[in-house]
Amino acid sequence: MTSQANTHWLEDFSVGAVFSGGPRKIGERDLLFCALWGGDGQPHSNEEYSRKTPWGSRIIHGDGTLAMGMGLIHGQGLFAESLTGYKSMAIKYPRPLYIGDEISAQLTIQSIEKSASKSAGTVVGNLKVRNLTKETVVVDATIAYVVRRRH
Amino acid sequence: MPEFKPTGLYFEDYVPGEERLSPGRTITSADIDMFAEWIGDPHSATERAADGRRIVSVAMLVNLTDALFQRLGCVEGTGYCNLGWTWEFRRPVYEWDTVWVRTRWNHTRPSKSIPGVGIVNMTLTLLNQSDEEIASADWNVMMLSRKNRQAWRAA
Repeated sequence: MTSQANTHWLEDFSVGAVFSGGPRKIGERDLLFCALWGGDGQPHSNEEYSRKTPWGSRIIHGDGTLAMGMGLIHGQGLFAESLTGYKSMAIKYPRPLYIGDEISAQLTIQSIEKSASKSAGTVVGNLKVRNLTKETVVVDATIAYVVRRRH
Repeated sequence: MPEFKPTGLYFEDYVPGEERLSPGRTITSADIDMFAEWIGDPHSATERAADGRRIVSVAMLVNLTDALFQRLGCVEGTGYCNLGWTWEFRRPVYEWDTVWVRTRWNHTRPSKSIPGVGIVNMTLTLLNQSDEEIASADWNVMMLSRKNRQAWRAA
């Protein structure tokens, strides 16, 4: 089955539905890509500096972790043909993530607004990225997707 | 090891109402393809507008906004942590668009939980080459205070 076949249209979502992805082990390559797009601030790229921070070592970027978490869910093709855009995102990064840790992602559908237009509606989901190694939540994001109806 | 002295703004240096504009960055097909490959979502590299132009994923825009903001230098050695941000997306960004970040400090207050640290609330607006507002974010960032430059160790 191609991942396109996993596409969910507006009618396919239901409140409380849960989509899970992962695990993914975080490596140096991930931190490098985080820095490429998210900036190479010292808490992420300077080990000497990072030792003196409360986190004790370089930490993975929150924004990059959000992106990898979205990748774990979206990469399965959930919105492959149905996504038209995003309305909003409310993002928190409650705990740090380190190289060598493993993450998983879980998207729980919270609400569905079908009346936005004839062709699409809004699906709001809560995305949690968990640090499986430290048993913490590293990303807690509420995302409003604009999703097409089935033709 | 050379002794690093922070060059960023301390909590007290953020004057509400002040604005800064970041450097700009052009987003190419290499960004779109490599980002999609890295996060493991090939579909994010296939989004296109009706006229065929490639659309940049919002996950990348969140990352680029942070990076462009950092290039202002305000948080170099003085940033403490990101308390979270709330985004609103208004229009897409396409391949070959160039984006800038306009930052406005809104208000500040000392942290109740960590001594020597304050919270700066700011609005970040992502702009394109036509000066259109792509997206905006309400952001709370913890910054070190001049009164406690040892906050790293105190926390």
